[in-house]
Amino acid sequence: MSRDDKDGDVLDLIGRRDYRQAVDLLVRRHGDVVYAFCLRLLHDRARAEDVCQQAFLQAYKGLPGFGGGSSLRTWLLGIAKNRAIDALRAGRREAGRVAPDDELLDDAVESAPGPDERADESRASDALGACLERCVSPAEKLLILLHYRDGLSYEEMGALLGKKADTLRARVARALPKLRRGLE
Amino acid sequence: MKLDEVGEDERDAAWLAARARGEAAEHPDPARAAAYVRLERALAVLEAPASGEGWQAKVLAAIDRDAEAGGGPKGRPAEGAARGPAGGPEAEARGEGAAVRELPARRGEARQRWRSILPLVAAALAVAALWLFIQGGAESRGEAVSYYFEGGGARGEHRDDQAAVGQTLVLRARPEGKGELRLYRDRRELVLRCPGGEGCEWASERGRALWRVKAPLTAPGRYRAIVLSGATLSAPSGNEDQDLAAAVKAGAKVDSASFTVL
Repeated sequence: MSRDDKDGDVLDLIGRRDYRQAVDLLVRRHGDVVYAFCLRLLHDRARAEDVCQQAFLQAYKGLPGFGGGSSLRTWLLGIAKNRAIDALRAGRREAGRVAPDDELLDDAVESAPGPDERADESRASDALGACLERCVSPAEKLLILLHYRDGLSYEEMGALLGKKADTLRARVARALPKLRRGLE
Repeated sequence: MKLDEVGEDERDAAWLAARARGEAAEHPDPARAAAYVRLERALAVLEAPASGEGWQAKVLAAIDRDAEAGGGPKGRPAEGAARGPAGGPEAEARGEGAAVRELPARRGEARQRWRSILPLVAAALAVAALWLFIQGGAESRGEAVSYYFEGGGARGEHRDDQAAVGQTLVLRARPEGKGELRLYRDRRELVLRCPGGEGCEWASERGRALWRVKAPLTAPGRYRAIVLSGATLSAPSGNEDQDLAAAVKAGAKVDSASFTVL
């Protein structure tokens, strides 16, 4: 089992079958990052919170089988992504359209932020927050935040989003100059 | 954007990509390189948008309900671990997705099984309820931590997880062996601690230690009472996450109960 130093205590709790406490720590430690990811995909605060609930409950059920193939945070984000895709699919089904998972995810990543998301971001009133909104595309912004703010490696991001790590690395590298220029 | 700016951006992007791959690359313009380092540092300290704590509390409440109903993880490997290519977050994440999608098909079988064992379960629950009644309430159920509120015209046992400023908290904890009771507010403030705190009373009940403390609730927030048992603990810092991590590392058994003060 690979050990993410930050979650070593959670792995200890899992090893002792104290799943309630383990998920409690995970919610506290990674809840905001998972929520931000869900909000980015769903653009709606209430739906993002619902999906976060589902994701953490499912994680709780799945903790005994956590194989350590990734960090716990990436594992949680993966669960949240799948639940978000389910939510997106349900929305499309209501609209009479069916799309494969990849397409749903790509559409969500590329789409413009919704009012809830903008409201959250407007609180980060600094120039960087504003430039992330204005200077790069929604997908570039997601990648930048996942890597720099949330600390995911490109390999983890690739596994999460179904893309090659090199592709994501190059995309972020192309986005940073736009961000730097926008801040000048 | 001017043409030379496009060229500059492409050069920067190539440098950034090489750097991200771990290659030793030198930027021709040190000032520009420093600007990117500053940018990366600023991005690293951006805060994620804060969600309400409502959904987090709902998750924990649902888990508690599930545990009370005898549900919860069963210690078997998750679908994600058993399926698909070994390792990799995507494999695990996709696996659990598949597990959920298969659930409806299994629900019919599960219902059948439940119907057949329902009378037995009902009988067992009745016996358990009778035993609990005889034993005399929540305290005797062996719960590591329990609480209720006094004053303010309201008194509720464990399930009433809301109180108002001005009410008094009555907190009871039963550590296993040596241990400590701590009460945190909003994860950042250590409100009280037993032993050693004001108003902490110690008693022995049916051969087990019992901490009892009464405390006026003077500030709103999300409170969490934590009983840490069976380990030598370091002094708390006041930061709940850090203290809990230290206690777990020291091998403490952790039991907790949360409530909100409005």
